[in-house]
Amino acid sequence: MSKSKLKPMFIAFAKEAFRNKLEVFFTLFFPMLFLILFGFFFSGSGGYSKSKLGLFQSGTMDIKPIIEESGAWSVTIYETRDKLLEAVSGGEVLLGVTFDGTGIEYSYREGDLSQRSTITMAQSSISAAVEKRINDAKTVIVLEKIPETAGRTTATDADYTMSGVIAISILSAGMFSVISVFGRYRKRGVLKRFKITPVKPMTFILGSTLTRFLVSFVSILLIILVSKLLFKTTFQIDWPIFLISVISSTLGMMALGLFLTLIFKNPETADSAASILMVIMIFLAGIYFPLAFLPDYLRVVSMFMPVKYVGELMRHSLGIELLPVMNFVLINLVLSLCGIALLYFTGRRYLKAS
Amino acid sequence: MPKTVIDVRNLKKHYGETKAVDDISFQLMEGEVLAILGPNGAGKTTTVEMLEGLRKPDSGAVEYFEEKLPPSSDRVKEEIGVQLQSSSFFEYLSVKETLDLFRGLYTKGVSSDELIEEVSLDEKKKTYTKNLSGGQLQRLAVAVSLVNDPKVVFLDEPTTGLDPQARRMLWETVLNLKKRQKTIILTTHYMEEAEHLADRIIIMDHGKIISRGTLDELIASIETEDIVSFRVKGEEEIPQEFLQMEGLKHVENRTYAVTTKDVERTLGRLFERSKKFEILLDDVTIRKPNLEDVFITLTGRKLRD
Amino acid sequence: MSRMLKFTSGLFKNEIREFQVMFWSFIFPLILYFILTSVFGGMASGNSQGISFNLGIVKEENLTGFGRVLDEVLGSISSHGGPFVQREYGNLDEALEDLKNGKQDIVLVIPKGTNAKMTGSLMLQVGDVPLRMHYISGKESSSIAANILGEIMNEVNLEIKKRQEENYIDIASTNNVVSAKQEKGFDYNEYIFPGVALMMILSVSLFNSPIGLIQYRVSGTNKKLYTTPLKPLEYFSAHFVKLVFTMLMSLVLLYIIALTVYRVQGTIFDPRFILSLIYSMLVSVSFGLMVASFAKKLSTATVVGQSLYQVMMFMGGLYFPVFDLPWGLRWIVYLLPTTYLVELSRRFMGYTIAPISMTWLIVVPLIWMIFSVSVFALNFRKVMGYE
Repeated sequence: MSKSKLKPMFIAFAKEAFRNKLEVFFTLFFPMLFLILFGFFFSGSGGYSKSKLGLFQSGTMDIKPIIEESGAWSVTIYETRDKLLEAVSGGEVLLGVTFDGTGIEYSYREGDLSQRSTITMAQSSISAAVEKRINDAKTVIVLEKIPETAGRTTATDADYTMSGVIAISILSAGMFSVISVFGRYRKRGVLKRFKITPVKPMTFILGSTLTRFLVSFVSILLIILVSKLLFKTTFQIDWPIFLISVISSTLGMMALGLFLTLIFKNPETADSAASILMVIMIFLAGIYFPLAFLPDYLRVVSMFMPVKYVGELMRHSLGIELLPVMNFVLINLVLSLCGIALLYFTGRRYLKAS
Repeated sequence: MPKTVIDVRNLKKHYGETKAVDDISFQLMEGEVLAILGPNGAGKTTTVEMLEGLRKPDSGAVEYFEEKLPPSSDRVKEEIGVQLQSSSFFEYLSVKETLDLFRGLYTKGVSSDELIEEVSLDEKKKTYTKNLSGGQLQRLAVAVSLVNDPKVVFLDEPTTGLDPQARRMLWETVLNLKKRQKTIILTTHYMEEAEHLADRIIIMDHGKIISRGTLDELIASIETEDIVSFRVKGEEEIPQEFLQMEGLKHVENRTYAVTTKDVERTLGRLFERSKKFEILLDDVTIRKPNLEDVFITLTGRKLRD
Repeated sequence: MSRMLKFTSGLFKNEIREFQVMFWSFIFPLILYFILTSVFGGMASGNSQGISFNLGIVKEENLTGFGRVLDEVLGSISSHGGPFVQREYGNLDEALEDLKNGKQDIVLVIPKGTNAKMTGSLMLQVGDVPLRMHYISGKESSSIAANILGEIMNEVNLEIKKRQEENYIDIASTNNVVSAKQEKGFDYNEYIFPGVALMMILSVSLFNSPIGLIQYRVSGTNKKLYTTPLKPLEYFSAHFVKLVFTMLMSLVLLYIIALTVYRVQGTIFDPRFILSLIYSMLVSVSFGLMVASFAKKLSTATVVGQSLYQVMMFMGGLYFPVFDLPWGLRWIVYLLPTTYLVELSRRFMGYTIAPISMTWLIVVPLIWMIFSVSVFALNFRKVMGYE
């Protein structure tokens, strides 16, 4: 492979990529948008925070200390039930608790799925705690909770969410970029133009894909920076492992994009199919919320989502959740080989004389 | 006595410092084919777009049908048909659907099937416009310009990019329109096209009309009966003294031309000088002047420069 | 009139035959509807069926006698419908390794001496029974699983007391959903319907509309149309009718899917709900026209359209309530018209999610509509390419 031809090829593609408004948007700023939106939705504001509860109690017993002991709640007392309900409707408190000495009424707003589990937990722990106190029940089974760390660092929920954002960013950069190169350029006749030059298919592929790696890296570094600033992430990056993971993941996601360009000749159709895949993977790959919440049949589907494994690689290299060595090697190998094989095959198909 | 269809008076249009159209006046007469000839950037398209109502002149007047009707009036729009320089239609409509659509915008017109036949697009009747070739799109554009059976047809560089056969087909269409008493205004930078189709020709350059008239009138205006052209063989420098022959003009590269009323004398002097300066001549031809020669005489440049 | 109708028909045919339009206006929203209802439908209804966490158990001694109570409890939470799938380990190291590898969500250790302690505690009411639970800090599935098991053990403690105490006092608990009418339970498929409907409307108004206008200008198609008798108002009316028709088609499709597949109830036929959708169409179309006013090039319109689409989808409350966001982002929520439009539709379905009065739900989008139309009117000639 001629280095002298690779350099101008790489520079040309790099200029093209960074001057193409659409491409810059979808590879750099789009993932950032997702980072900010999803980061706030699925991991809160990035720090430990107590959920706010409102309490109205009539009768002699004060259950405020009981509630506060039972979990990470911050309790505000309201003078009347109406004021409490107003506070719940207005979003001032997550859950309203009304206690009259014999029963507890829980008031809440429906539809807030990110808080659903918190509300459910609150209900059962508060009821249990109050019942225990009233009946002076002794704790028979004492469950000691021992936190473990799966990685090099004690991760927060923000760390997990941000690693998912990085995985999605790699997916976006890898998948859409090859649709641009092999789809749009092919349609416009740019590949045909290269075909009649002495440039080897491999040189072309390297020149065009190196640019995508560069863009991918820039995007990821931006995400890491912003997530540290906004969400106080505690990544402990193993840079060599991180580099390997990003390269193999980008190759793997390119393989996905290439697969779509081979199936769908029209680049716009391939783009649309890629958009659907991206949405499916965002929700089904266990990146933003646990697979445990998915119905069985969808959990099976998620096992086939490549981005699930990219997420695992990212968590490993960011020190959040370590993988066994075999798994790490296998995932990297599979992603890289798929990417290289499809790049080679596609390159030969579109760049060699038929 | 033919009526004046369009009266153009002192038309001006500038963009910043550039004078795209610089004080031009002319009339378009009923039933004639008027060609506006000139190189790229001469102001032809700007002129014609002002006549079509697509651009507003900075000063001057354009009036239709001897009734002081401006181009933007409804009556004018009903009576003109326009084929634009770059043809663009709705990509996902077929040829027939496109014609039907445009036909539906006018109160009167001809059927799309007739037009499809006229421009020989029968086989592509149901094809989406995005799948038509350049030549087919151009023919469709001409057909669209005729949907309302217009009195005046504007054709803006209708054969640019077409192969010779397609060009000939389009010329036939224009001549058929002429037989049907249509008034046609045609812009082109192909002199053969103007020579073949036009009753009258206006030559424009740098926003001005530099000459006008019938083909014969234009050629007669340069007072030349014949043109002797030749090429100097070899690659050595041509002596300046040789080039100081009366009436000699440089055409391109090592090709020159001499306009003359006395061919024999001119040939004699030419061979004498070539012998004197030891220059070998090639491709010596004698021809009658054409529009290109008119343009070169007027501007000192070729039409295609 | 017939000229305008003929032109509308041509525009509509041209639009509907383009795959991209079909995809973004019809197919993509329905796919998203399917994904959201599949993923969140179970979560939202509080239906724990289908939810399962992996529980690793390490028994340092076999459970016998009173210790069997624990076996029963573990058995009941791992049976059909329970939230756990359990696996027993021979040693703690293996279990912890699987915990760190993600194969288990939590690991419960039943230490030596549990049998004796269970006997002492249950028979003699002396001492307690310590168990250890290992979980991964920060990992949501692990934290939730740990909390669930913790609550289960609390319930077990109460149950034990109940059986020992004759005069045990049960504390009854009731739920009061302030955001929905009392007579109906929360139905996520119904809740999400206005969000998906608005998404379909937005895809037409933020993509098709501005991109179409700019495309026709840039390609020269508009220029050709200006040489015909078609008036600017007729052109524009045709464009508007085409958009409305496309939106209506996509909404009809959504209605059919919602009624037949997801069994969404009749509130979506409430005249006020339908009026709110029409209002949403008007506001969204005007917003799209404003986008066309600011974008000179096709690529700019695409980028701006996509950004606004995503922001409005997620921060406009289409899928998740957004009023708990930090104020740094919440002001955006209050700025977006979709926040008010989707809440307005939901109000007519019987839900009150947003802390916004009815007046503001109508006024704010109206302000946006007037502003957008004004901007477009001022830039009309530029957008349409008139000289």
